[in-house]
Amino acid sequence: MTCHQPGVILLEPNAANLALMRETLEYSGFRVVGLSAATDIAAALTESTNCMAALLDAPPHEPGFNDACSLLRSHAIPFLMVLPKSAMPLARAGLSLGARAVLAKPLGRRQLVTILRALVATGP
Amino acid sequence: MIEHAPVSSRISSGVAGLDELLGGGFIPLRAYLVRGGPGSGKTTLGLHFLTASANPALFITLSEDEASIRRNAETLGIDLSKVHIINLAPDKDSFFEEDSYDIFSPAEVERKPLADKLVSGVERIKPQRVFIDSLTQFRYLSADRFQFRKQTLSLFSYLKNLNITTLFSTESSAEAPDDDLQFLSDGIIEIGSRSDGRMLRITKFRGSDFAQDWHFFRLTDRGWHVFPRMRATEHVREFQPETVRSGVPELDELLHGGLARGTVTVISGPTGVGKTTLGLQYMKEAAGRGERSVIFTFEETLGTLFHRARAIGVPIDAMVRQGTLAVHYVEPLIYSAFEFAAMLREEAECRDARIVMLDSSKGFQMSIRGEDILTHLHTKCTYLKNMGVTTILVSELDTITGDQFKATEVGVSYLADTIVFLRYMELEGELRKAIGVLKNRTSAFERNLRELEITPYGIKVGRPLAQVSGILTGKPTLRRDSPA
Repeated sequence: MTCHQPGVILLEPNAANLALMRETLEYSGFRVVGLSAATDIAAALTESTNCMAALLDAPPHEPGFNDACSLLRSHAIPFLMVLPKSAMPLARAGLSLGARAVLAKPLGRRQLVTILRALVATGP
Repeated sequence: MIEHAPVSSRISSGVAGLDELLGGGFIPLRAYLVRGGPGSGKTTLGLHFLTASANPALFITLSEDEASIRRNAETLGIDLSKVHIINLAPDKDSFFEEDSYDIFSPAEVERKPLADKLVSGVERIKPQRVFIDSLTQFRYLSADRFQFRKQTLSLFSYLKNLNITTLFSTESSAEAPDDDLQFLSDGIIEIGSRSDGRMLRITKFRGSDFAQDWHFFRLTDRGWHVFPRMRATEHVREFQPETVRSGVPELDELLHGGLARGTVTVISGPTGVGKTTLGLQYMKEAAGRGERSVIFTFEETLGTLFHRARAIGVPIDAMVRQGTLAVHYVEPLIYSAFEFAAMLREEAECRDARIVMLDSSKGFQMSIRGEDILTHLHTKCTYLKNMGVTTILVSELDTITGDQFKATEVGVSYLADTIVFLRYMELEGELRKAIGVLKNRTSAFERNLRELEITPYGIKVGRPLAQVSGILTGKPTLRRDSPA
């Protein structure tokens, strides 16, 4: 893994989900910065370079979520939100915080990789 | 036109009775479905199937763990030493995992590792038989019904190309019906149940004839025992027509020689008149010729029957010891009519029984629990006739005497080639017995009634009762011009 690989920040409190997404994205050529809490994003942005997209699997009312979205916006990092199907009414809140799109779980591996590649290619 | 696979190319299911229903066994290199509710015996059938040949076999489990499969097989006396088990079920740690994933569907996450494990196992073990228990679990690893169908077809094709015959189970429910798997399979064994026991039927068998209808089976501490529904016409044996004598000359005179081999004789009469004793007399005589007879008693216990036989000079203990007599007590609420049919076949086909006595038709009626007695009796009597066995059917009448003469109680007279009836008669205040023949299809017979006595030395049949009339009307009268 090198810093030339596009970095993706994964906010994922579920360790099983994080492991699966890490495996999928690293296999597809991404560098993964995994976080379990929204409050960790500031430190991650400081320590990691070349982060070109973020995926936030957390509801908008999660502590520190608003601040995390602000930070991503200020670093011009496009981000996606992931919500369970049952929580999709919260999608509007996520979009208002700057998410490019809100995806419903479960995702397809290929779908996720394709979307992230498009996001990285398109840029901020 | 369908080309049926010859019996010689079939492979055993591991259960003799099931092989018979399948016309000799499974056609190899195909995939067969066994479907039924929980606890119906699907897994046990899989164990029989895997151990029916000495070649390597593979059990792919998606529910029960290997240790419990091996433990259960051991309790059934099934040797799994040549059976490999691949466990695709979740391990015990899955339950304790703090987080379970939901980011991808199970089809995305689980299917490939399971498929890899399955393929590597099959290629390492090189089995000739595979049992998958149950394929329903794979359904949850497919994105949709189309994908499941495609993947299942692909799996069957893969196994077939490796020269493997597959048996797989399903857990059908309203939420997850298995209709699609029924279409994909080459044959279907369906397990059901009735109030009196477990039943199975074959509903599909590509390229082969098969015995339809429901058949009875038991799950015993030795596994599956299937009792195919008897089809009398499928069993025919050449036999020499001959007369079966009783050894009592006067009785044989009544029948102008005796009973005919391979016929059905109904002995009817009220309780205690001597029907069983009369049947025993033929068996005693047959034992003298070295022939085997069998009594199926549905009412009388063995102890009582043996005691009664000894009391009239029938050497029943010696006959049993020498193998010229077998006595089976068929407890109606324990044995089904299907099991009884299997017992009959065992005696006729494996032990060469020449005389079979069913004692009695009423007891038999209880054992079939509400089903049509005539259908069952017709099948069994026809079978015994086809096999050259002389059948004695004891028919008990409720009435001791009376003016309404009835040949039999449950309408079985049409089954009979011969009807011998025994009656009580009251003559001058004394209760006596009479014997007569009502019907004999194979020869002429004496039209007179004779007096019957049961003595410590056996049956005694008197001279024709020419001087007594009105026995059948229940009001016998003795002509005064001659002694009784």
